[in-house]
Amino acid sequence: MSNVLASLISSAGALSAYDQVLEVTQNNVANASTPGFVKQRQALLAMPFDPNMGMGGGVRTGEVENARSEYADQAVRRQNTLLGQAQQDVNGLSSLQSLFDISGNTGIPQGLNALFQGFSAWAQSPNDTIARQTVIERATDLAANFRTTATGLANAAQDAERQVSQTVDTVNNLVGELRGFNEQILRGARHDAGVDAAMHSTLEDLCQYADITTINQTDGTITVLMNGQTPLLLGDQQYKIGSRLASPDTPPPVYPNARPSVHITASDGSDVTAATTGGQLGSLLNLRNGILASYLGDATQPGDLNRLAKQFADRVNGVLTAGNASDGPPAQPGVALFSYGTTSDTNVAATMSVDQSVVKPDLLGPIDPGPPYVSNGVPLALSAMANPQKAADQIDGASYNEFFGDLAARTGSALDQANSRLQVAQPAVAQARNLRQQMSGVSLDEEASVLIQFQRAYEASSRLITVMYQLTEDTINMLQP
Amino acid sequence: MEDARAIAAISSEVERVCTLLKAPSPETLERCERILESAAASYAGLRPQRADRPAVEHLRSALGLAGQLLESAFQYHEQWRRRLWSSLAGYQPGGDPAVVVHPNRVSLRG
Repeated sequence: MSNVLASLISSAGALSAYDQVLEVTQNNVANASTPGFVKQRQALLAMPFDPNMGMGGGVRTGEVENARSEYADQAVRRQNTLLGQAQQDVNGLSSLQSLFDISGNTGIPQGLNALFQGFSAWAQSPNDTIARQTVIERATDLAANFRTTATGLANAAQDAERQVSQTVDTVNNLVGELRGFNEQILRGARHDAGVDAAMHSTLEDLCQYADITTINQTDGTITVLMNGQTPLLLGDQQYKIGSRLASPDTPPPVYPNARPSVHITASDGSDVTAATTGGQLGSLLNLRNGILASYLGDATQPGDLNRLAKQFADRVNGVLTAGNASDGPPAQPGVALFSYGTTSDTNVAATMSVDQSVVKPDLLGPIDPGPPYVSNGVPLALSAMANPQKAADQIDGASYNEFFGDLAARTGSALDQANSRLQVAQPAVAQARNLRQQMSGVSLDEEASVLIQFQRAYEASSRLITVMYQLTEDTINMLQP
Repeated sequence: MEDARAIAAISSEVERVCTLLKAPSPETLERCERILESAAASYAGLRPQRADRPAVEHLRSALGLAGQLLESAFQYHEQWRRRLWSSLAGYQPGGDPAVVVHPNRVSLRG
């Protein structure tokens, strides 16, 4: 009981002393811009600690300074997290961009253009075997282009999965190092400058990989949380995160055979993927579960590359099989050109092909039996798909080439934004480090004075930048080519 | 062509502002303000043509970066000021930090 009372008295005394410090500091801050004002200082001493003598100790010196120092550290870490995320975004998206050449010289756009030209040539010579063979060869090339793009994207997805796993390991290893520092602190190394420096350095490394929050505990240890809520380290107890591939159970997957998404799990097994948006880990999850899934599909969507492949193949096959290869009698119906795996709509682009052992030139049907009967109606209809007028020849209201352009633009636009963020993040980290350095050794009173000066200076520069930015924006709009 | 060179020179000045903003202090911010005032005055006197568009876009990009660096530094100090003020003077009923009054009274030393 006496120990409890001693603790309470100690706490009350410390609070009172702390209150005095704040009063003195407040007075200094209030007079920060008063000419000639001499700032005052309230010194605090650590109280003796001896429970047997009823002395409960108590120290409250430098609370605000510590809070400021921690604030500055957090600011550096926050900028590092943004930098890590932007760098990872640029790396991941740059590798994807090569799969989406929209110049029309390679890949799917080149394949589409070549096939449309092949249809046009066939329309001019509907019974020419060479023109029909050219159509088959170009369709084969286009199917190969779809497969190549799908394989490239699948490899990128696999690479992202591997990187997520590696990043999770790195996070766990770094948190393990921090746990070691906490253990040293609990064993008495609280004021060891070496431990403190190593801990801060490790935290700066860690925050590149994930969005990390730290809380300084009264015993000197740090608590580390990911995404502000998932515990990674509490005292000497580490909570490891993990990664796994899984499709959601609820709601039931629409495409159960789709490639599963990557999930991040907390140590208790709970899924923290949705909250993991920062740092390299957040970037990798966005690339794998967001951007790549939008192309290749997942449990809830077939993926736009597969939609493009399926709709194009089905439309071409539909027009061909509605036509006739010969008038007969009996009339010989045309054969389909493309085939693909039918087990899942998420696998169309990866399996699209032309079976040349089945599709022979003389089996391609140019005749639209009508009415009206048109001897080259089929290749005419197919070549019209290049600049579609009918809704049936479009995908989401666009031509097939335009739709592919939109897919490419998705990556291009995300890469542009990532590059812009990277351009800002690099100097912003330097800025946060400099601001932390500036704080070091400066008293709160001096800083309060500086803060007042800052407020005015920011307003002035901000107005000038806003006006100049608007001027340049107007100029660019006026100089539209 | 003259204007393109002038715009490039203004861009260089704005890039100098970006460099200064990496280590913002009241003194460097004052320098930034002077540089930006001069840059704004120079730009206002120009009549860029279509050929100058890349130079203007480069300038806009430099201004965007300067704006973001200014904003991040402002946020840094503003957030800290709010924490400091609330530590020193508590909170207002709405949750904002209480205002620390600056009476600007005259003090005599010595």
